[in-house]
Amino acid sequence: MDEKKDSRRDFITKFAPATFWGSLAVWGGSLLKFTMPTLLPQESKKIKLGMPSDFPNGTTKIFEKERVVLFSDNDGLFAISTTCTHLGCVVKWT
Amino acid sequence: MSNTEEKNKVPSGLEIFLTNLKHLPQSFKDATVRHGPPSSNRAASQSVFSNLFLHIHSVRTHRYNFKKTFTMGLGVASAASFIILAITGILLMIYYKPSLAEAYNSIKDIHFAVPGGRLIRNIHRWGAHIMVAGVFLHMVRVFMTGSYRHPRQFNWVVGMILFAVTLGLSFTGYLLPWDQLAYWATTIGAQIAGSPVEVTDALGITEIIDIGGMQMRLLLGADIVGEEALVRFYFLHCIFLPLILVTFLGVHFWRIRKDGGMSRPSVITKEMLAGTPIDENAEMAFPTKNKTYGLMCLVKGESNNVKNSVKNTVQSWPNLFNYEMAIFILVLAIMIVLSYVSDAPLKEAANPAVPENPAKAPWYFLGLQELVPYSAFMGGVAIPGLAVLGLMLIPFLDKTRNESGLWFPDKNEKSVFKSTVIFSSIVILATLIFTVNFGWLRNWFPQIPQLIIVLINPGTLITTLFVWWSIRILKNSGSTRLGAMAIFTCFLVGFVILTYFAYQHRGPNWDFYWWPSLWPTH
Ligand code: HEM
Repeated sequence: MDEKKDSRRDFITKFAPATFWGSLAVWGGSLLKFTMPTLLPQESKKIKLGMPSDFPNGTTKIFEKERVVLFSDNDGLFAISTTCTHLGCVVKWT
Repeated sequence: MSNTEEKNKVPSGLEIFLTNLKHLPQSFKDATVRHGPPSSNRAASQSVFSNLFLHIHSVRTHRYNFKKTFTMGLGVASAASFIILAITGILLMIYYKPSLAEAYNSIKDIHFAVPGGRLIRNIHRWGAHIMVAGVFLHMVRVFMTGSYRHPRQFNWVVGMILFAVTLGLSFTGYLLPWDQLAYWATTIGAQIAGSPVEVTDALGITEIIDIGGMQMRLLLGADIVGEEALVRFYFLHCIFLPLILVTFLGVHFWRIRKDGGMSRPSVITKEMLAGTPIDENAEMAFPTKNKTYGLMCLVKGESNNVKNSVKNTVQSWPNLFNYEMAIFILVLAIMIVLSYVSDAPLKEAANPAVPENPAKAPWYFLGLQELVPYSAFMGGVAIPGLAVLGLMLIPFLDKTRNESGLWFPDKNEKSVFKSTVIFSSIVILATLIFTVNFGWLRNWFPQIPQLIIVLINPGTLITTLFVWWSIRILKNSGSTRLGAMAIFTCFLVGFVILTYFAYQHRGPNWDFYWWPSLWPTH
């Protein structure tokens, strides 16, 4: 009888702090999630630069602000970003 | 009758009030200076322990702590720099506006229009350099004098946190002027934060878990350096990181006291104390005999030397406070002189279309920038991460209980130090000369997979050689202290040479130039 009582108290005294730390961890985690942006506030990566007919075979056009180069040759029409994938600098197109 | 009445007359409320009012200056002084002027030892001691700001010091300080060649005042100089940075930073906040439209202009206003603005800005900029240098050198001193040893392991770890926060403060502050230098240095920094993508890309798992992208977005609030990044950096620089720094500084100072004061050798000779302050009680052994201890509770573990009485101490007031004030004033004077000699830089306003070339990071990151061209992940994340982790674990991997508080207490330490300086200088210089002349794998095999370069590049090569050398010393000497001495010296020499090389000999496109004056004008 006594033993039962004690172990119940034991359980509660252990359980109470565990709930505290558990809820704190969950709450802290959700706070961290708050700092992670879900809406990326930047211009869309889909950009309108013109119609394919604006770029006949042999043209090269540099869009400085959009950081894109469009060129077309016998193999087709290509769009290449001028932002370097290494450290994010702008590659000079020649 | 009237006589007795007068005798027993209770003063009226108004009279009491007026008397109190008359004594107001005196009562106010008594409450503030609670123990008379610190002219006696007793009052001086009381001044120290009953004042919140002074009581982080002990009442008496060991004379050895004043030995100039021991600490070189570097910890105090770091703290002084931080205080000066906090004051000038708060002043800058009055005029600085953290927005894309106004950030650059407000810095320009501070620099050119606000009265005294340029001086404040210059002190803040020079202060940042000096604090980083001071903290770094303080770490070197603590390592070299073996002061990380038991019981100070924990304080060494706290120190590493302070080191990281100091660098974080400096990195976040660099963006705020929003000029070309700021913009492009931060772009590189953010790209390095995103560089685990090199590894996940090579493994083809970026779609599933994009650690690099997450880190970068957490830092920038976006995929690009824009207004969100500016707001985040502003918050980190002005609120979050200073709070963390102050908190851990509190812990750092508290631990110094709790670890029994500063480290010092077990035998202290008269010659060692030459030039340190002395007072009439310095020869007294303080004093366990006539101290009374109350039993509060029983705890396990060692504590301050309760049994051992301490000799060779002097009153903290005024000796220690004079020492601290002298360092503070010296640091402030250096900053002010530098501020008149050289202005904090301000380039053109940030322009995302035109990269700054070269976009150099602040000098303490330049050593890493030298390693980054091959692999942003290895040079910018893995190797510095390993270095910080390694530094942090030193006291737990070297548990020798040799003498603390002495530079090079025996000739073994000195000879390992010397041979390691030679070895690591040769390794680094050879690698630099080789890569400048012959390039690296990508120049010879343009089609080589990036993963191979991530694994085999000058950075990993140098690191491997350093570790090999230190393990060799560890094995041959059988001493973890000498192994630690070897790896720490490698780190130190690597840092110094790479930083110098990137600062002086790298120009546009990160090409080699003998001097910046030879850079092509563009
Ligand atoms: C914001 C940065 C820091 C400040 C303001 C600071 C301040 C101080 C001060 C004032 C002292 C007292 C003695 C002295 O001047 O050397 C001290 C001691 C100490 N510091 Fe720092 N510190 C900083 C960073 C570090 C770092 C980066 C480390 C190491 C990783 C470190 C480890 C220690 C240790 C172990 C001691 C005790 C030394 C002994 O007992 O001899 N601290 N610190």
